[in-house]
This record gives sequence, C-alpha cells and structure tokens, in this order.
Amino acid sequence: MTANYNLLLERAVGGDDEALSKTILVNHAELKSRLSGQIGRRYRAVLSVADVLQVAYMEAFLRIGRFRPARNGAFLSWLTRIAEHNLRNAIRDLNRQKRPPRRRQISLLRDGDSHVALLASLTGSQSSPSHQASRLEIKAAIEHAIGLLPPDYGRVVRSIDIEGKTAQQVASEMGRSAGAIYMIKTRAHVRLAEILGDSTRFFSRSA
Amino acid sequence: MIQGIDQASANADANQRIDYARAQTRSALRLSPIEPAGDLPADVFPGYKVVAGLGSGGQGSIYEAIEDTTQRRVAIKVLRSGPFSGEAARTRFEREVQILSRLQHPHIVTIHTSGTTERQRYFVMDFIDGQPLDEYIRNEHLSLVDTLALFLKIAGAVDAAHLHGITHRDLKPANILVDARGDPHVLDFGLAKTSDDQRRVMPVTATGQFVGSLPWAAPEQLRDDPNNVNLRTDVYGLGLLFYFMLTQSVPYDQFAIARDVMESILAGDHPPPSRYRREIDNELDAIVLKCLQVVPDRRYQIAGEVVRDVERYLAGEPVEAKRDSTAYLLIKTMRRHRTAAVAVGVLLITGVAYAVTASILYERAVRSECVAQQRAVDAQDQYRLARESLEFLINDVLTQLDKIPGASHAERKLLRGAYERLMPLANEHGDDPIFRMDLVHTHHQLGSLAVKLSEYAEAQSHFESEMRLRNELPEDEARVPENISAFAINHVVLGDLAQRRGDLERCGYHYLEALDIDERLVNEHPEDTHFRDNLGWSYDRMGALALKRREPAVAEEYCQKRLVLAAALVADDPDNSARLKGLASSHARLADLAARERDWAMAVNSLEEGVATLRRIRRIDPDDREAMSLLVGNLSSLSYYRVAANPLAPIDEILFEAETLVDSLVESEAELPRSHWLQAKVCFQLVGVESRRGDSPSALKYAMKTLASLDEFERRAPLDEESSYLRAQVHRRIASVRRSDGDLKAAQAHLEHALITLEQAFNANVDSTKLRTLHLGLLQQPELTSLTAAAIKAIADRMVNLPHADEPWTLISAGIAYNHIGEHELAVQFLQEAKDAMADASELFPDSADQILTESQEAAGLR
Repeated sequence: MTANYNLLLERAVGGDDEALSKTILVNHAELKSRLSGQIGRRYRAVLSVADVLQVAYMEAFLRIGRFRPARNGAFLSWLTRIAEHNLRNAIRDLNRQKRPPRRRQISLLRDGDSHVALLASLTGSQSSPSHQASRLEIKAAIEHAIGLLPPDYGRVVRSIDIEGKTAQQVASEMGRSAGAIYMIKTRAHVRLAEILGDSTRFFSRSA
Repeated sequence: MIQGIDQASANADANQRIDYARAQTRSALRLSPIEPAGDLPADVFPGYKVVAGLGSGGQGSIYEAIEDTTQRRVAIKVLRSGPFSGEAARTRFEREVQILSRLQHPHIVTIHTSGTTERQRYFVMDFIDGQPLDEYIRNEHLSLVDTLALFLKIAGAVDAAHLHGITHRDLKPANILVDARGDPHVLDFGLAKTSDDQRRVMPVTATGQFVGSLPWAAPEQLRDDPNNVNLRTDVYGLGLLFYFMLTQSVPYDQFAIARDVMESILAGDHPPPSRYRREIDNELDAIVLKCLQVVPDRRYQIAGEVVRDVERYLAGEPVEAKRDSTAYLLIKTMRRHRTAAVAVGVLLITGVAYAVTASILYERAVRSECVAQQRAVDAQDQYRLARESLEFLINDVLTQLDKIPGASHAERKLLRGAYERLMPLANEHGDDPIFRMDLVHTHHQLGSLAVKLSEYAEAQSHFESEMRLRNELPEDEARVPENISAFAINHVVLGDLAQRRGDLERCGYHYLEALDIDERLVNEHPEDTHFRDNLGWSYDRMGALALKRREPAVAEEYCQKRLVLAAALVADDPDNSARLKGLASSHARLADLAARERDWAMAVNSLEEGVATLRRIRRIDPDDREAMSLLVGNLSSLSYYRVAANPLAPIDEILFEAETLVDSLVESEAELPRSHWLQAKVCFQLVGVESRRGDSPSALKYAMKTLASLDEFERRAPLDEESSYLRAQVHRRIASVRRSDGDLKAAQAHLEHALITLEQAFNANVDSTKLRTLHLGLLQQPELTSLTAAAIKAIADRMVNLPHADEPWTLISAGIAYNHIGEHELAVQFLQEAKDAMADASELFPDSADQILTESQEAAGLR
C-alpha cells in the first residue's frame, strides 16, 4: 500500500467522508470478487452481491470511527468481515423463513406492545433498562432512536418490527431483495441496541 | 477499449453505491472512536473529579471519577435528560439508590452517596474493573470446584438481597461483573422490587424472531403472571446462571426463534447439565434442575436454600434436591418388583441394623478410649467388632442384595452408609500392631467402597494409605503369606486407578509389582488356589495393559498363560462361578486380541468358548446378573466376529438370545445405564439382520427400540461418542430402509436426524475422528435424491453459521456437502479454507477431501 493510501485511510478514520468514499472505491473490486463465490445458487434470486456491498458500505460509514488500521490490508479485511457477517445473517434469516410453522404458537403480543417488544428483544431480556418505563415512554425512546438510523434502516425496522410486515412485503415496497431486507434489519437492530444502550455494561471498561 | 469501458462501468456502479451509503448515513448517528466523556466539567460532582466517560445509553450515563479525599476510583451513574427521563425513570433511579443503600454485601456493588447537580440526579458507587460473567466464564475455563465457589458467592449476594425482601428480577451474566481477583459483583438493581406491581414485557419482536442476547426470563415472567414474580423468580435466574457457568450453555437452543425459546422455557424439559460436562454428577444436576422447575413451588424457595444445598454437595452430604427423587426411586423400585420387594425390605432392615450396630459399637469404642486409657484393649476389641460388622454388611449383605433385581439403588444407599460409618474408624491412630492391621483393612474397605461409588480420588487416597501402612508393618506381620498377597492386591487396585486416569506407566509399575508377588507366592504355595486365582487376574491385567500399549505379542503371551491357569482352576472346582467368569474373561480377551489382528476365525473360536462358559454359569446360578450382562456383551461381539469371518454366517439365533437376556436385564435394573446401552447395541444389530432378510417392518421395529434404549441410556449417562455414533447410525439405517421402501420423505427426515445428532455431539464437545468420518459418510450418501440433497444443503448452510464454523472439520464437511449438490464454488471456498487452516496447524488434510477439492475446482472452472 502506498503512503497516499495510508494517508487517505487516516483521513477516512478521522471522519472525512470523501476520503472514506475513495478508500472504499479502491477496495471495491477486490471485495466484490471475494463475495462473488459466496452466495449459493439457491439464494441468488433473493440476494445479490450488490445487496451485500450496499449494506457493507453503509456500515462502513457508520462504524469507521471504531476501525483501527493495525496493518496493511486491514481495511479490506474489516470491510470483508462486515460483508461476510451480513451475508451469513441474511442466509440464516432466509433459512428460518423456510421453516414450517410450529404446531403450537404462543400468543404473547398485545396491541401496542410492538415498541416494548422491540426494546426488550434488543436488550436481550424481558427486563430491559426500561422495563418499568411506561409504554409511551418506550415508544418515544424507540422513535427517537429510529430517527438516528439511516433512513433505509429506520424504514425496515418500522415496517417489520412495529407494523408487523413480512420481509417479502417490505422488499416489494422498497424495491429491494428479501435478502437485502434481512441484512438491513439485522444491522438496524444492532445499531438500535447500541443507541439505546445497555446500562448493565456501563461498569466495565471492556464493555 | 472494451476493458476500459468495463472498468468505467464498474467504477460507476461502485460510486453509485458509495454515494448512496454516504447519503443514507449522513443524518444517522455514527459511532465515535471513543466513548463520550460528556461535556461535563471535571468538578461537576462535588467531591469527585470526573476522569472519563464509561458509557451512555437512553437511560443515563456512567462516568469514572476519583474521590478527592480518598483518591479512590468510583463510578458515578447519572440520570440524564432524554428519551427515558420521564417520571417513571426518575422513580426507578431513586428506587435503585434506596435498595443499594440497604444492601451491604461484599458481592453487591456498594453505593457511597447520591446527590443532585443543577440539572441531574446522580449516585456514586464502587468502580468495578472487571468482565461480565459470561466473558469471564468463557475466558477462564474454571474447574468444577472453582465454578461452584464462584456460584456460591453470587448466590450468597442474591440471598443477602432476599433476606431484605428484595427480588433482583434481572439476573443475567451481563449484570454480574467479575473483578481481577475473581470476585463477582451483582449490579443493576434498577428493576429490583420489594413488592410487585409491574407487568412484564416479552423478549420477542413482532415477527417472532429472537434478536440480541438470550432471554433470562422465568416461566412466570413469560406468562404475564406478575403475582408470581417473587424471590423464586430469582431462584430460577440463579438456576440459569448456574447452568451457564457449568456448561457455557443454556438449556435451550439459543439459535431458535424467540417463540421456540419461550416454548422451551415454559415446557421446562431441560437436559441436565451433565449432558454437556462429564464431571457433573446427578446430585449437581438435581440442584440445577430444582432451580429451573417451571412451577415456582417446586423450586428452592429462596436463594439461601440453593446456597445451602451447594454447600452440602461440596461437603459430600446428601443434597436436598435429591431427597424427593430418592424416595421416588425407592418406591418405584418396590412397585416394579413386587415379588422381590419383601426380600429387599428384609435385607435393607438387616443392612441398616448392622450399620446401626456398628455405629453404636464404634461410639462405645471411642468413649471407652476417652474415659479410661487402661481399657484400651477393650476399646480396640470393640473397634474390631465394629469394623467386622461393617465388613459383614459389605461382604455378605450387599453380595446377597446384588442378586436381587431392582435393588441396586438400595445397595448404593447401603454402600454410602457403610462408607460414612467406616470413615471415622480410618482416622483413628494407635501403635498396637493388631490395631494397625485393623486400620489397613479399614482403608482397603473404604477404597473398595469408594470405587463402587465411583469416587475414584477418595479410593486412591485410601489405597495409598493402605500401602503406606502395609510398608510400615513389622517384619513378622509383613512375612505372613496372606499379607503378602494382600499387598499385591493393593498394587493391583492402585494400578487399576492409574489406568482409569490414563497413567499407563504408573499402572504398569503396580501391575508388575503385583505379578512378581503373585508368581512368587504360587511358586512357594502351589496348592493354594487363592494365590493361583490372584496370579490369573495379574496375567489378565498385564495382557490388557499390553493391548493398550499396542504390544500384541506380549499381550498374547499373558493371555495364553492366563487361559491355561483359568482352565486348570475350573478343572479343580467346575461349579465355581467366579472361576468360570475368569475363564470366560480369558477367552474374551484372546478373542479381542485376535480381532485386532483381523484373525476372525480365531476370534470366533475364542468367543464361542467364552459364551459356552458363561451359559454354564447361567445354568448353575440363573440369578447371576453379572454373568447375564457378560453373556449379552459376548453374544453381541460374537455376532460381529462371525459376520466379519463370513458375511453369510447365521447370527439371528445368538442375537435373539442376547435380546431376551438384555430385555430381562433392563426389566430388572432399569436404572443402570449399562443395561440400556447393551440393549441398544443388540437391537441395532438386529436392525441389520432384519434388513438383510428384507423384513422392513421388523427392521424398523428394532430401530425404534434402539432409539428408545438410547434415550433411556442418555437419561442416565452423559452424552458420549459411542451413544452419539450409534444414534446417528440408527437414523442412517432407518433412512436406508425407508428409501428402499420408496418413502423418500421419511428417509430425508432420518438423515437430518442423523446429522443433527452429530451436530449436537460436536456442540457438546463430544468429537472424534470416528464421528467426523460418519459425518462425511452421511453427507456423501450415494442414494441421495434431489429431496435429500436439499436437506443436506440446508444443513450445510446452517453448519457454516454455527459457532465453530471455522473449525477445519466443519469446513470440510460443509465443502463436501456443497460439492455433492453441485455448489462447486462454495465447496472450493470451504475446502480451501480448511486446507489452509490445517496447513497452518501442521495437520494433515485428508486425501479424500483433497480429491474433492480438485473435482470442485475443475467443476467450478478454477483449474
């Protein structure tokens, strides 16, 4: 890697969007090539390399502050890991979608519980930091956090988690593939959890 | 030129995507490189200097600060304005302050003070520089004892809260930090309550899919049952934490969707922790599972009860959690064997009477010693009487009990009772030679009892004490032939224990010492059959050890010597079942040796002799269950050897005989895992017999019986390689039968079951080349139709998403599966990755996998 590239990367990590755009462009062809063999025939109709790249690039803009350029090629590895992680999540969700319905279903959701349920699921417990907050409070918090997401992320979360639409419905409305919707939903959940925070980890430096 | 256009087009596409990503994220919250310390002035909290922001969320922020007066590090939690800053949030914050102020415990985070700045409420507490419990458990690989010690501290902290009437209600690993000294600190009492007025929320999204970390909810929380959310909810939480700490796992499928997880929690049919960790015994299982009872009334009622039962367990005392199940087992045994029940009852009474007598005599002995030294001789006599009473219990009562079907539980209870009553005798001291000899016998009996109770470390300690005392015996005592022989037996049992823990060198030393003594004694006293018996068992052990050391010639030499001696002993006493068992065992050992050399004819001949000998014991004593069990094992092996020697050899008859015997064993001893294991093995062999005969219904009947036996076995013993292998093989065989019957859907289902069985084994760290080979074999089923190929594809996709997906053997299995179904590019990717990983680790990449890699590369146009 040249000194110019390293300088570009340094600026990108420092928050220069233009520099990050150029850095991604330099690595685009290689990343695309790495991903091209990874989507099996079965999923090609519902997931494309372009979908994976698109979400990976959004994540790159969102997370570049956390990237540490430790060695040559680290940025490409980082971007590849993000993309592959997204891809695996999407395949996992697509697989789950094909499961037969369970014989028994538990009706747990009531009207107006969507925001509460989403918050609880994001923080991983029925007793989230806002367990005892009123529903209105939770709704306001979730809406606030959704507002801090990229627009596509927010739309997917609102459609699936709040309004209860299926990924296929949302894909059709947004003109995207179902795989792309699953990827966006997963990333959006991670992001929402980060925004909402988890008070239980505040005490630890490693958190 | 065309290349230039392509490049320009690719760049345009990339630019478009990058611009879109940039526009999408422009207004979004981006993660900053460091946690915000906030824009607080360093001295905003009186008496503290803020040095760093530790984190922030919707609810508030945490800062690290230094206390001005003491210079100690503290954490300051601040309720801040924002989306969660309503009245309810303030109430929660205040309640946490109040609760923490009431709780003073070394393992609960301590609050120092609270206050209000111009705009914000805050409180100051301990700064804990540690890792969350889940990370700590994963990183530290604690021993079982250390895990229990850590759990006791956590449960003790929760108990302290319970004693103040406080329910934590949010126990999960993230709420427990473990510091550098290994001390846990329970945090986050923001949800704790002293009374219940709050309804639960559900850990599920509108789509029913589980996201984020695991739910740690109790059934009553999921059922929207706030009246039942109380101290016993925390007991459930402790049970989950305990389960996780012991197994690094939770008792349900963490990859399942939320609704499935909830079904598992509400059903409460959790596998015991011992399924995932061999060292865990059924008492510990019982403690964890009692915490995890679905019905709160059936759990411990408060954390302190959990603490006390774990302490009882550590002290080797009977645990409360097993109390119900012991009574249940006893009643169940009595009901099942009504005819034997009277006899069991009589023997139990006899046994207990002897144990009580011994105990009273012992107490008298001690009292005598304390009160009047001059009566020491009397005391020692009484001591001996006590020991002999217990020995009678062990040698006679228990031997009789062993013959009664269904009595093994009672037998174990008596063994435990005898052990506990003998223990104080072993701690006595005295210089009198006779008394020292008594101590030697006591240690030997305790060691033997500990072996029967599977407490091998205890056994080792007693047998070592016995050896030490024997070495200190006066010369005239040590020269007595019986004592010399007992010294050899002492060596043999220590050798057995060394072999059990895999120390073959130490084992060889003890066996050789014993052999040397036994040979000398037989030379000096050729007429003594007892010494000849011992020599026979020494030959047997040397032969078995040589086999383990892969020294077949040495093994054969000892096995032949043993056979000659055993045959001579039987000739002297033809109806002695112990000697007949010795003879049968020497035949079996020679058969095993021949089979390893692939001399199948020799293996068959030897084992047929062994079977004939065991049948003879059955005729002499039809109730001898040990002989019955040995006969089943021999018949099962004989059928293998016969088919190996001649694929057309008839084996139906011997397998049906084995089936009848093993059914009877299972009927009489349902609680013994070995009986179920033998039944599974025999039934699986019968699946093969019936399949070859073309009788599919019968083959399927035996396959189902095999699975049922395996279920029973696994309910009583931890998951292991052999049972996983057999279960996967049964499903594979059923798939084959179903396929030949044209039922492809059923075949597919059973192939999936086989693969899932192996996955479960791998996930539980049960792994071996044998299992991996079977895994590969399953993925390469030649009869696969497009239907089963789809199933394999689904499994391979799932496999590469499993936690250990980067493990080379997993990658190879996935790669082979992808190749098999025509996904050559994916196959190349996974196989190449496995090959690289194995090369890095200097492991051999299997030729068969390499060949498939080449095929895939060619098919994918990469070569």
